[in-house]
Amino acid sequence: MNIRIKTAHSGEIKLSPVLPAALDQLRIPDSICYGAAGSFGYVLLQRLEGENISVLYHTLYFMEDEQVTYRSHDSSIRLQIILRNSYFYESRAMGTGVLHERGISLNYFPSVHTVLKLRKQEIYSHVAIYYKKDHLWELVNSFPKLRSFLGRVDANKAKQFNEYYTIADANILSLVDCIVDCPNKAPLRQVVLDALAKEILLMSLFKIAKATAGAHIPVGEAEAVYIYRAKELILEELANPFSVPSLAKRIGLSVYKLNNGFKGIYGMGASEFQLEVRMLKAHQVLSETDTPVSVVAKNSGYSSHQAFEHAFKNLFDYSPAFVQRSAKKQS
Amino acid sequence: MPIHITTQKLGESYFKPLLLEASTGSAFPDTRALQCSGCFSSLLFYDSHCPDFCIRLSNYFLGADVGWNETAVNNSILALQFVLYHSLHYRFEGQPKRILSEGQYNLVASPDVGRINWFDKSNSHTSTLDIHFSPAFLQSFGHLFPELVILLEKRERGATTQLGGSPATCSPMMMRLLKAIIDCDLTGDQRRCYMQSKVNMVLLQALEQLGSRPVEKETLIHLKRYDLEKIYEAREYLLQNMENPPTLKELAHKMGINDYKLKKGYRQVFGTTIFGDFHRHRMEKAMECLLEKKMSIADTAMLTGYQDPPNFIRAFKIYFGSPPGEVRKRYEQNNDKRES
Repeated sequence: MNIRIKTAHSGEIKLSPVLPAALDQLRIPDSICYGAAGSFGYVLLQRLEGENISVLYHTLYFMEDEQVTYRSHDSSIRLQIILRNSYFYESRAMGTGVLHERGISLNYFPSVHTVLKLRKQEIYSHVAIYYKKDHLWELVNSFPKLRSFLGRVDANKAKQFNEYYTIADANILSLVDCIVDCPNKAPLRQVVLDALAKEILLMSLFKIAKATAGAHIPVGEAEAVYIYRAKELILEELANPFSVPSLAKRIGLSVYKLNNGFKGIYGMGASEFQLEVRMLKAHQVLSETDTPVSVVAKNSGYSSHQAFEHAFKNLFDYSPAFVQRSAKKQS
Repeated sequence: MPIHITTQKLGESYFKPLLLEASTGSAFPDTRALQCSGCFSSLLFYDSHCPDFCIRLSNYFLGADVGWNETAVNNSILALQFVLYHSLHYRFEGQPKRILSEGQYNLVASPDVGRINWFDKSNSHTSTLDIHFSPAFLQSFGHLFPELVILLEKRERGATTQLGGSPATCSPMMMRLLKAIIDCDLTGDQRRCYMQSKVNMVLLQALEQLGSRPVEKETLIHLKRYDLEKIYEAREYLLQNMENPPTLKELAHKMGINDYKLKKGYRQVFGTTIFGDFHRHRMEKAMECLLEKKMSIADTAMLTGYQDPPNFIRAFKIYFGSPPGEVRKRYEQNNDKRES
């Protein structure tokens, strides 16, 4: 993958396969890494190879506000999922636009020339999954719109598949986590990565098919910053969940704007988002440690563990005890 | 379209006509007729568009000690069996009985289904999800899982076997996939793609886990849902009442479960003994009290359920390698160093 990255202030960034020590802790095991770190910040690209699919995980951080230009002469069908922060882009083929956290885009580029506007001292990360034409052909009967998209691919014309803004759900994000955390070694690893990537494609296509014109609430740059700050607050205070009005007050937005912002970025209101975050965190703690359920309940902001169990079951369809039991059994 | 059939209280039931109808439109490797005796009810659905596998969801309501044998069109079985609710007892011809409890699964293979006898001891409702594969499809994973090739060969030679030496337990991820399979309301091509992708992921995970399962050493006891809940409750209770730990008998009595079941079941579920687990937690708590809350040794001993501090000190020393006073001293010295 020949990607060249140029910045407005620090010039061309030379990516090296020998990672600077500072980036070692960000490293995904069994990935092929290219990175650079210096006074400007850091850039890290990590490639995970399946049999026919490759996944590229991007992490960017700059000390100063930057304009970053991505350039590549390779043509590619790729699915991009934003994992952190908002990407304001200007692409030679697609014009300008924005993808917030959890935004999905499926597109084809004969060559890449995209300028990203990045804010200083914030981490940006996204994942791009590169598919072959065959992967899409297999799904043409289920998603007829793919046919015209593939026509554009054959004609070597840039095209974005999703017409409307599409947001990934927790399921898709957990699949991305599975790719990053894939514990398998070759040759099983390649097969598992392929299966996961195909599942992500399929789930994303369902999401894209469901997205409609009026459903998405546009969120501006300044607003997005507020919403991310609200998210940080929620993550810090998992044990003491906010009411939406108190969260709005802390952030300095009206309840209406806060909820709208969350809906625009995450596809759900602030309280729903808070619940999801708390439950996902609880799920993680349960599967990785053997903290008693009552303690996990307390740390997730529930005073009674019955109420916690109920809410957990509602969301995942299985009990907290099940998560703990299965983690024990596997080890 | 999936086919839903519900029947209740049939003496002897043949599901043949319906299943044959399902088989006409598809290339199912294992289109089967179900035969059973006793009070029986079952819900089935078939995914008729996938050439490599078919999925069956069954609910059994059985009287005590009623068993059933199945007969199939081509008489063979090669299936991942998941137990979703309660537990499934089964026995291969001439072998001891086996149990799959809620949330467990195994890959079962036999050239003749008639050699497997399923039964339910507990007079209850059991629910399973089976994914039946074509041998050719599984063979395509052979290069990744050598155990699978051996299993398929054994089956060719006429043996009735299963892949995992002991059943594996579903991961939350798998559970989500199974739920997604069951709840899928798509139709036509979308449904086919959806199922193929999900089954592929379930199969990969299952094969990986089953391949590394050790052969069962001790016989597992049957745990009802009630028992499982009580075992969890017992664990919670113990941890909440650390200052005043009950004996095993007292604990079992309090929870309303017999002590043998609590002891055996706990090990089965958590892989450790009940008081071994408790001991670990109380030692960790002691460490926390000593170092972070800066409590006295006597208070810590009381809080972790020791009436006699010397007993506590001895236990602490055995667990951590050095007595509590020394551990604390070292910790404080380290802290001072860092501060200065």
